[in-house]
Amino acid sequence: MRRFLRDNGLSVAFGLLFLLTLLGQAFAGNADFNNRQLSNGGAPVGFAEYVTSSDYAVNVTENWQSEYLQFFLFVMATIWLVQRGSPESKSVQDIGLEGDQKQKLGRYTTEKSPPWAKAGGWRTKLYSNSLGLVMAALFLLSWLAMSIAGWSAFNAEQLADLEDPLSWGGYVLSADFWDRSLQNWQSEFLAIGSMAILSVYLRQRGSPESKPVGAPHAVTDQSG
Amino acid sequence: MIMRSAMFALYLVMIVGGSLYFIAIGLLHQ
Repeated sequence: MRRFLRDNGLSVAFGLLFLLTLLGQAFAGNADFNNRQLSNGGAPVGFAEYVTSSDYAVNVTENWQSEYLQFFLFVMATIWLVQRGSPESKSVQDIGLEGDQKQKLGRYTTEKSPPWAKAGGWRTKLYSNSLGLVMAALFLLSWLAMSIAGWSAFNAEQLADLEDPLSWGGYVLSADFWDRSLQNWQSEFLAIGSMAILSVYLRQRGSPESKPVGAPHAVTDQSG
Repeated sequence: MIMRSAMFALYLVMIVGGSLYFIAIGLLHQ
């Protein structure tokens, strides 16, 4: 057990932080929702009702979709775009998909290579793109969830204001849908760009997200 | 190794299951 925790510290710690903050968001969101209900003359709702409400659903999923978009774009963009001096980037001479030798494919596979890396054909092609494909699929799924939950939450407000509800297609073209999407996307892009360029000149000793403290600013593709 | 792949599966279940749960909520309240 101890060894499991040491070997999986990142996924365990962030998984727990995720569950705790998701719960925290439910409590804070419930209180905020009830404040709005009271000021609009509506009835407050209980915790169980709130965590099954479209208000909670849209607030959770609007953040999820942007994180998966961020990682999908980061994974794909770093194939072709580099940042000289950044540990988040590969070297300028490695731009592109890289050869079989560097990717340990074809006759460069080893005994311990994943089965689909050794298989060749469509399986290796698919496996070679599996991280990007899964990130893209998770982005689309959580964005779809945001659109459906947001549509439902939006229409609940429309009806409370005695205004006409929208169709799902109408909601996806609405200002509310794009405000929720873009307000999350902009922060992800700022964070990625910041990480790429700040890590050229700044160091964090011991972190693989940083270059070694003594590494020159111009050195790319090195983590400490 | 088995525990590590369980962690991998758990994360996929959280995000896929969570998204489907929130889709169901949106549809049920519609």
